[in-house]
Amino acid sequence: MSKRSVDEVLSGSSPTFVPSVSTEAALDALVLEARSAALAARKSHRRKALWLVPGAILAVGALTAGAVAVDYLTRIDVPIAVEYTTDTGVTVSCTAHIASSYFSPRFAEVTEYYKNADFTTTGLGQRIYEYALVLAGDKTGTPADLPDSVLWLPGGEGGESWMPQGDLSALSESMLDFIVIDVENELGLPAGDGGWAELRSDCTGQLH
Amino acid sequence: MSGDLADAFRREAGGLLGFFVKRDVPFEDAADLVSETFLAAWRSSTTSTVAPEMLRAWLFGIARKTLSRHRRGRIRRTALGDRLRATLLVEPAGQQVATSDEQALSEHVRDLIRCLPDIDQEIVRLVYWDGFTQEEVATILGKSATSIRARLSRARKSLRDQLAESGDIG
Repeated sequence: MSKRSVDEVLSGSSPTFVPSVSTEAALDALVLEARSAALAARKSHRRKALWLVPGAILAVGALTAGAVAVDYLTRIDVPIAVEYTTDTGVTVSCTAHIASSYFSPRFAEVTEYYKNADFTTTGLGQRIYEYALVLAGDKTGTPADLPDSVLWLPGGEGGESWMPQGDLSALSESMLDFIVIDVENELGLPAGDGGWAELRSDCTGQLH
Repeated sequence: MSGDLADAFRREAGGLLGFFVKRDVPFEDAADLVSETFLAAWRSSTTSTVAPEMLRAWLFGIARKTLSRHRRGRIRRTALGDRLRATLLVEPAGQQVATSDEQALSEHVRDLIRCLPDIDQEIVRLVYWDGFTQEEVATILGKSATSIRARLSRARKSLRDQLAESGDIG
């Protein structure tokens, strides 16, 4: 046998793996099942998370008075600055405090993420504002307005039962989606059979 | 977009399963790791922004992290992988017939690769077993292409010297 090159020998050392036809079929099905599971997890997470949006609204402007008290929520002790410019040219700056039942296992990493994130320079504040306009019914939304964790356009297909929200409620929900739920997905935090998230803010809900 | 991604993921699914199997993950666990990888890929907020030419490297990057979590005992068995697991256990992947000399050489080379530092082992496997370019390996491992080139060059030289010494290469 003629001697081979080092590259040939290294390539040839790979363990052989040839999926059978039925394995290929199982893999095909798995890809689609994983997509369904991922979508279901997002929907479930989002539905449960929204439970606490009314709490966020109640707590607006009352950071020192205490807000929703849920023991299993892990709070991030970092005020998150949000800044956006309204359609009338008013620049609004405010802050949010967040908590989630998904932060606990990786608390240090999550805290570090939020410490380093400067949402005032990334344009996220403006995205929060634009989506809040959609939620408030002040603007017809497009898919580009949606947070990554939201799959249906308010008022669009699949969202027929949607009703416009008040400005403060719309802004709170938008902030929760962008600042908490999207980040949880980005960091790969568990999104099992539902969780809880809370956002308290001194934002007044000014949209115009 | 979602349909395109599903097609792309399906094209990579066999290679992804092979990625785990080639790294000595038992079939029953490999099914879960493939499930976890696709679940993470579908859930990732960056999925829709990955350039098509980098999709394979991006997916294998997720696979590598999934494998790392598995080795730390952090992957749970889920129903999602049940069908694949059942298929693999009943009908394992095919093995190409190799001569005993070829088998012995392959095992010898794999042993030599295992003696490299962990990161170099993975670079060599990704390049020679999975067919990735050095730039793609940099993406998968989250390192600079320069670093990957230097490490691969050093690892290849070390392997070449050893294989030459044992008379396995010309």
